[in-house]
Amino acid sequence: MAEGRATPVGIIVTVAFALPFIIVGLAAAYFGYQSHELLTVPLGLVFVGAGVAQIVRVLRRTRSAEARAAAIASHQSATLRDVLPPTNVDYRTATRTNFTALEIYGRVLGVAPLPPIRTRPGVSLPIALPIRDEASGIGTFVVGSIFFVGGLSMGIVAVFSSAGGGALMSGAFALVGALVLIFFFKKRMARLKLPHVELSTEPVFLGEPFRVHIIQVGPARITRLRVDLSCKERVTFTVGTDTRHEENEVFNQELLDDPGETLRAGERWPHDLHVTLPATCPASFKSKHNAIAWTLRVRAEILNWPDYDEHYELRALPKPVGLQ
Amino acid sequence: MSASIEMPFGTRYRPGSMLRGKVALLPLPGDEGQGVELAVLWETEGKGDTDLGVIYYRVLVDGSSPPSAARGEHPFEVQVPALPLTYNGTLIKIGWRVRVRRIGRIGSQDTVIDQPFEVSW
Repeated sequence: MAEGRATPVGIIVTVAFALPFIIVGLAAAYFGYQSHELLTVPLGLVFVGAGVAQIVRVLRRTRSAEARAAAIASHQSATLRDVLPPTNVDYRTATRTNFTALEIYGRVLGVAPLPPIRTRPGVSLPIALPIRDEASGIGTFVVGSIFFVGGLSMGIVAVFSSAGGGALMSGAFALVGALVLIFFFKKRMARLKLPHVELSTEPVFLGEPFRVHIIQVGPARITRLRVDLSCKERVTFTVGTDTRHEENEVFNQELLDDPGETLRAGERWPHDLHVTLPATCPASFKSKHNAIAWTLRVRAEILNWPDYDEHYELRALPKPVGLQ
Repeated sequence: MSASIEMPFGTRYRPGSMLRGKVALLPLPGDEGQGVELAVLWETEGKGDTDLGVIYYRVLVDGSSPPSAARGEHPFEVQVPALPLTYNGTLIKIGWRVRVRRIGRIGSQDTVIDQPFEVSW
């Protein structure tokens, strides 16, 4: 069952827990403002916000899980109505059968429990896929920099003040920061060599053929290029205060394993792959804690350069029986 | 409160088809002031935390309704969406249900009656 309704006792406990945060936060903000210690004001407001958020959260849960989900669904469809892809056709009255999944599912894609995928026009095929984790990694860079610079400067101070233990601890911090920064820069460099990954259509139909183009652009000395297609169930669950993740592979197919090529600057190395997903495999699905994810994994070993290993998610949908 | 869910066209539906049914409610002594909700929804089961999506929601009886409002049949009709389909995997199961929930009094549990159905091609 989904998260249950909040009981009166639960509401009282939550409010009793949240009120001190609000009171202390308000007091800190007020006295910070009075004494011109302006840094205390936002800190106090953060405490107020945390307390208010707790109370709002528990008050929302006085309704049933279905009532809350219905309110969210209603809000989503109102928000997405104007920004959805082209119309979906009624396959039951249609005179042709060669519809694409986009034509059939059309408006549904914005409100159905599916992963949001922001494709863009491709060069050799209509759809270019983005990498699944497109985040710039700026958070990793900031954390690594803080550890490295902070550890290094504290270490220097500790050495000059003859505090041996402090120097050791600071050195450890600086080392962790350096490793995080190395990881960040390796990932950024590897992504400079990423190939274009393009599809003939997206979403794809289960049981229908489609094409995948992998276009590696030079300069690069690729010693091995591999492409796999997989379908995995992914779940997130809570045990006590821990959030855990687990996945189960439902389907995996190796699409390409090439021994590599040396490419000059601007040279293109294309691979044209013809793929048919099994009709019996599950369709893509994405909700808050559960997902069925179809991904292309593209990895390369590169001479004198960091290797890349990236995932590109696509949506696989069932083909209506009337069109088969 | 006694409640039953009837689905005269069976428990297997194709996406796009109409699901029609009715909920029969029979209040029992002491049921005054208790709310009853009807929802058609998909719900995940399995190892992950539960998620649900509601495609139809109606309050059949709210707490302030007279006892007579709770008695009788409440027909409903909803178009089955294209996704998600019913799925029985290893870590995830996706099931569809018609659900009647009687809202419990303060300090007591809600009573839930589910009528599962399948959505597939």
